[in-house]
Amino acid sequence: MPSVALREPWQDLGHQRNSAVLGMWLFLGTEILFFGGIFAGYSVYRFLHTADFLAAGRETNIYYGSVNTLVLLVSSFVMSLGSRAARAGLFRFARLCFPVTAVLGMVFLTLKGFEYNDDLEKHLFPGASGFPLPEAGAGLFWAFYWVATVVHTIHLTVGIGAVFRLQILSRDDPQWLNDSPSAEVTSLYWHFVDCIWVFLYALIYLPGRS
Amino acid sequence: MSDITAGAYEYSRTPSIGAVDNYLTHGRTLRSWLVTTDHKRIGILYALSITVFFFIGAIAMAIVRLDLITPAPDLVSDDTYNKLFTLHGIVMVWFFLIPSIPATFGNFMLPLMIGAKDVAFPRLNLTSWYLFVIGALFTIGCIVAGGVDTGWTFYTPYSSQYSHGFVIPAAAGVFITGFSSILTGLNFITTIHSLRTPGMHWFRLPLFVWAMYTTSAVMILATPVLAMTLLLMSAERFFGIPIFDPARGGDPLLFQHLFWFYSHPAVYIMILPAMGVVSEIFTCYARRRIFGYSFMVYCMVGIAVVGFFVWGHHMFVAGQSPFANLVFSFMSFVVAVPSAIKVFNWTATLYRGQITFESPFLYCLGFLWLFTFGGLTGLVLATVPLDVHLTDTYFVVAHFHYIMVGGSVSAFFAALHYWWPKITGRMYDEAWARFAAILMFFGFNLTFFPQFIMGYAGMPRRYHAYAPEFQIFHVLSTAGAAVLGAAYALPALYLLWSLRRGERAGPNPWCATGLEWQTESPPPRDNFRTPPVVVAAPYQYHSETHGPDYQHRDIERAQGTV
Amino acid sequence: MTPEERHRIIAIARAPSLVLLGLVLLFGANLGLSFAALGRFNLVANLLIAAAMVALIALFFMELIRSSAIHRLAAVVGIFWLMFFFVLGFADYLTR
Repeated sequence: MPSVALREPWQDLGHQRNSAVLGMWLFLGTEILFFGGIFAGYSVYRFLHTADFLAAGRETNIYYGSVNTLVLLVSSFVMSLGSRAARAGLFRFARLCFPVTAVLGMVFLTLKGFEYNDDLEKHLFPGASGFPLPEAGAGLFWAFYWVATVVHTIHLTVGIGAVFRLQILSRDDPQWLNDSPSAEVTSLYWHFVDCIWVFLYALIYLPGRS
Repeated sequence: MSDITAGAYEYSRTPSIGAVDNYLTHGRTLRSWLVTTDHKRIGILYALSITVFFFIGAIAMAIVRLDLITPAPDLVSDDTYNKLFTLHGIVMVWFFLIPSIPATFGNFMLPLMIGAKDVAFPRLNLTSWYLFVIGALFTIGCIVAGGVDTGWTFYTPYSSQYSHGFVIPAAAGVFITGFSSILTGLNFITTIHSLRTPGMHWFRLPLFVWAMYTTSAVMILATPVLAMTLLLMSAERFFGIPIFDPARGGDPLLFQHLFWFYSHPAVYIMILPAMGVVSEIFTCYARRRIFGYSFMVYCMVGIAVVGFFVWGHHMFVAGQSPFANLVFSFMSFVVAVPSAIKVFNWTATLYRGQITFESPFLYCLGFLWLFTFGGLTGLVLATVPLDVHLTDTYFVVAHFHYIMVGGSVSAFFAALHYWWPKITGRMYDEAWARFAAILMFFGFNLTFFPQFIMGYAGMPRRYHAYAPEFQIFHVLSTAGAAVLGAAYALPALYLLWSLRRGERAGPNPWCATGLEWQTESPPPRDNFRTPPVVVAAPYQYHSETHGPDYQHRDIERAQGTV
Repeated sequence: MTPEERHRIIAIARAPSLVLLGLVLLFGANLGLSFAALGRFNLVANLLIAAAMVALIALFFMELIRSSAIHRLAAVVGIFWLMFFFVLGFADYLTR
């Protein structure tokens, strides 16, 4: 009996998996250029207002940023265990890894929420009155901080949903995790969101510390 | 199988036309259309949606052109005028031209041409149509609420700080529609990689498939940058955060860099599919193999890549550095080379062809003339000192309409006529179709040629009131627009008529090569009753040693049906 | 969990664990270096280390190391196109 994971127009699971993975990589290519708009704008302004950016970067909360980076790195590790386990047929272990990944993602979101709260208490939102930093470029830095982290947060939220989807769809039929490309594709997306954060961390939290 | 490179495709006769089960009869309820994952039906859904938008965009411009008959701004208010040309631009670019050929004929034909059952991700394909519809609803909502007046380019700081129009809903519509084209592109590339029928090597792909491939690559790589640009602009407008505001350290040119990083390649999203269509049609009606197949492929790839290096030619007078002007000017000349090679190759394809002037061929001839003209005036504009004189004049307007309307829209109509029998199973009235094609060519030139002259003489674009010496050109242009409007409306009439009264088409009314002609018209739900096998390169219209046969029967003879 | 299962889990976890260790070390290096006064080389160091971390994730977690050529191509094409923007965009900003 053909697997329920096999969909039109494919004739075998391997072909379907390869194509789905290709589709996801193409989508990630799109995502690189989507975030690329932020990176490009940030780079231009950092070039035009170098000192201001360093001063503004110093105001970010490096504790939240660093802990969150560690959380995401560990979540990526767990996710990669999950996708390898799904491929190896270790479904009980895979179905343990996915919720852990998602919970780590939610820890990130929670910490991010506390951080946003702190930022707002310090009036570090450049659109509102009372923005404390006098340098012209500081407002730009913080504008990019907000846009970049919010867009990243939305991506992470989508990722958490996608990981829970794996858990739900494999509840009655764990073999689905092996047949369907979903586990591998979801894992690619999760790691990508992590990669974006690694760069954001270096660009947002680390400038101006020395 | 004597002197003809016969059996270009292994061919099995399909059951005769009128067979009950085709993609149109495969489910007759509205619901069966709205939840379909059939690429052919999704192509039709797109075709219907973009037709609606074509008429919305056309009506907006009709009002503008009527207003421009007199130098005084008398028909509509200044504010309405700005909103009308903005509406025309947004609708025509994102809701007609970008999806025009790829989302309709690409969707319908691509799987057929590579011998596949469907696209790689059929449900994603339907999703992209729904995203298009949601984006469209935003845009229509924006029109109903009162419109937007920034021009289709959304330049900051006007859009982000000063405009009183509904900028964010308009940008949201474009943003969402952008994801529809990204998903379409992703789907097409995966389809071409994964679902080619046995024997369909990369260098046996019809050029239309290559056109879809390169177009999709541009869609995937350019559109996300536009999405982020509009997001940044909207964030600045909504939250008041500084991003492009020069008063707070921002750089308005950054917006233009990001915007044109998408919007110049977007021109190639519009023209590459047109090039693919023209290659299919010229070969068919000249009964010739394509001249220089591999160069045609390399040129499309070259255009898709180099097309990303030229965006700065939109910013020559905007404050870009002279060095950057030099670089972008040079790259703009470079990108003309592959386009010129294509034009020469089409001409060489026609040489010694057995040409018959059916309507698709006439549209393509129109394309060849108008695209060449538009391309050459593009070189004029790529020259920095000339651009300083001509920028933001009607010369620019005329130039890009020659490419987008003269080029893309002509090819769209060519494709519509060429594949209409395949899509509907019916023949249209050829005499009316030829008349419409010729009318369109003359209407187009009457509309836009005067704009070159008045632009060169200094008539700025987007102006509501103008100096009286330009009136004669505006009157000519408006008259041409009326002719053009008639030429666009005519096909709607005779094509609809053909649906009821047209002759049955049969599988291959043009005796064309290509897998899409080797199945029934209209095709069955799964495209092919038996999976086709490809054994030779495309466009085998005549043998290696002999030229084409004047009777246009080479293919039929090759297939043993005459 | 049977001992055999445990054995197999340890087998698949070995490589990712090493990668995680590398990532955490690189992360620590990045954080530490950002407090060292290197002038403009702070940025260079931060970005190089970030790139190394992303390379680790892409090669081992996203398994590009065992992917087919077409998947690798799709993975790098976005980065290439972003570089086009940087090269040509900065052709303007560096020469204003």
